[in-house]
Amino acid sequence: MFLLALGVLPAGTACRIRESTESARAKAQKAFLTKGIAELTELAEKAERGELATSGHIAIGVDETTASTILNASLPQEQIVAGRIRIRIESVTPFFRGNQAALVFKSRVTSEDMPEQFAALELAGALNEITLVEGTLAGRVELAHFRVTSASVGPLAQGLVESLVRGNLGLIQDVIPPFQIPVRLDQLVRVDRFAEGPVEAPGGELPLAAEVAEVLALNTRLWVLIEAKAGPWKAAERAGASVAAVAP
Amino acid sequence: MEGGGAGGRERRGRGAMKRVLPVLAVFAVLVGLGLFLDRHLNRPTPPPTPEELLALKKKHEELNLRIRNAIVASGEKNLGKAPPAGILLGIPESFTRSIVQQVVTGLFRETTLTLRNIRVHKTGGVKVKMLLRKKQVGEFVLDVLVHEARGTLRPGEPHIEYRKEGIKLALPVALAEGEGRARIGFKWDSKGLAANMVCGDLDTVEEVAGKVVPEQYHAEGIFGLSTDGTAITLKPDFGELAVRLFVDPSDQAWGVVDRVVSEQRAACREVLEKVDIKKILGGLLGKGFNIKIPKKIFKPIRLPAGVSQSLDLQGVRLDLAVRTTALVVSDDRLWYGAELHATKKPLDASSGPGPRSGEPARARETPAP
Repeated sequence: MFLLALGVLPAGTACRIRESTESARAKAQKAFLTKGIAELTELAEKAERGELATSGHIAIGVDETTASTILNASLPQEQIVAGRIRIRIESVTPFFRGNQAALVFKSRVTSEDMPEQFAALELAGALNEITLVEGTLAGRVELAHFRVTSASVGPLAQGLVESLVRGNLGLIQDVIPPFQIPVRLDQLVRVDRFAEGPVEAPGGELPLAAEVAEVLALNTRLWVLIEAKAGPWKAAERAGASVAAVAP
Repeated sequence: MEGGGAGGRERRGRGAMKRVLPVLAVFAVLVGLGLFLDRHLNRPTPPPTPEELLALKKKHEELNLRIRNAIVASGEKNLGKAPPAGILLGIPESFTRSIVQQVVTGLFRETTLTLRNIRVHKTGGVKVKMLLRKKQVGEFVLDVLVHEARGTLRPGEPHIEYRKEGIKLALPVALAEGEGRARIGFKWDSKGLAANMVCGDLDTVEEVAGKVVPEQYHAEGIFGLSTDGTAITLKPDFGELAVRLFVDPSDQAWGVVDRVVSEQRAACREVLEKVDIKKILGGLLGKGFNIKIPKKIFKPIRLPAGVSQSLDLQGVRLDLAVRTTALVVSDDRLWYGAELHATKKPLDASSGPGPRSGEPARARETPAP
């Protein structure tokens, strides 16, 4: 009896009224806009308090189209989850609005046992933790929501797909490439030695330090503001001397 | 016995079925009721109306404007006026100014001007009135060999001005300090019997030292903007800086000259004083030595932010074709804008051809959690 009840329960949830794609999309849009208003209000208050200084920062801006080009270039990517389903991330659409860097992925789920059956999945995530490591800017995508938009299988199988995806969201996230901004930030400016006739300049280098100060997603553009400092200048001999001092 | 046994089992089976059927019926009713309730309790909420979404979008726009105004009020002049481009780099004036200032002054601070083996030569004759007419009593040759004169440049505070065509730089440069070593050779060749009896011939060589005279100069030019598609380079356009290096003989040097004269007999001293070696020497060195600091000393400065030409992502290399669309100097930022075109290539060439469009980059297997 207990086994019978267990068998009936998923069927029961699968029998629920399934929401239309348009309705789900409108609700997602509302949720995105509502969260955006909260984010923007917080940002506006921060800016009005004078805590959002931008003028001294290097501003790096990427629009949605360019981000889409970069993100989609490494797709599709595939992952076999739990040895049963194959998930293929096919495309991604970035949204940089309302101070939210959101990414919506279109993917297709197929069964390893029945490869002709599929379910189309929409995964939504946010760009998190944009960091500057060795002169390269990169952000991690964190999945937050997903839903089945269409399927070749019935509601029961769709329910099973949803449950499988929900349980493996972390693994699916690993297949999503990190978002890299194709910008290079050097860590020094070097000037070579100059010698001509009676004139000699030994050259040197100007070290640079940079770190991410703020990330803004406004009006279809992602802005990464970098706080950068230059100097002090190191003349070539002095630089050489300091290297010699630390050498064993 | 056997037939009775079979009939008994049949009767017991029918009895069990009679007992289970009502339970199954109750279960079916409960399941049906449960499903009915689940279906109605989990009915999707109604979607937002288009008006509701429009109102939220309007609120977004208002907040964006509020943020923009606050950012402008905080001193930002043109984040909102960035040129249209897929990828933008806005380098603040203060940062560029700091780089240019430190690179140029750092370079000049260590610059030395060294003259070696410069020869200065002066000859002349001395005439004195003898009875009725002036007569040449001798000829002198003054040779100065500057072994080395070294001066060090010291830059002042540069004046940097942002212009449409680039960054104008005016740099005061002082030839601040330096020293020199020289050999002074003085030859005196007496002419005529009387002169030879009074003075004879002299040939003296002395090593002397001097100091470089500090002077102020001014370098001025412009760093024009250029790009190779991946970085902004400030290309210098400066003229040659002409520096004149003056060597001021030390007291020891003047003492040497004085000694050459003072060691002679009185009549000879009188003749040599007419030569006035110190004046000639001062005149020779007072002209200074011209040094041209080549314009090449101003090196192009590659700003430290640029667009990458490739990215490595999940086993795929993206070659990025960068097309520059804007390079402008605005109020407080240097803007560089570009559009990108990405081409996919395999990261490891030995792994064969990379995934084509529509082909997965790779499939990985993840074990069941």
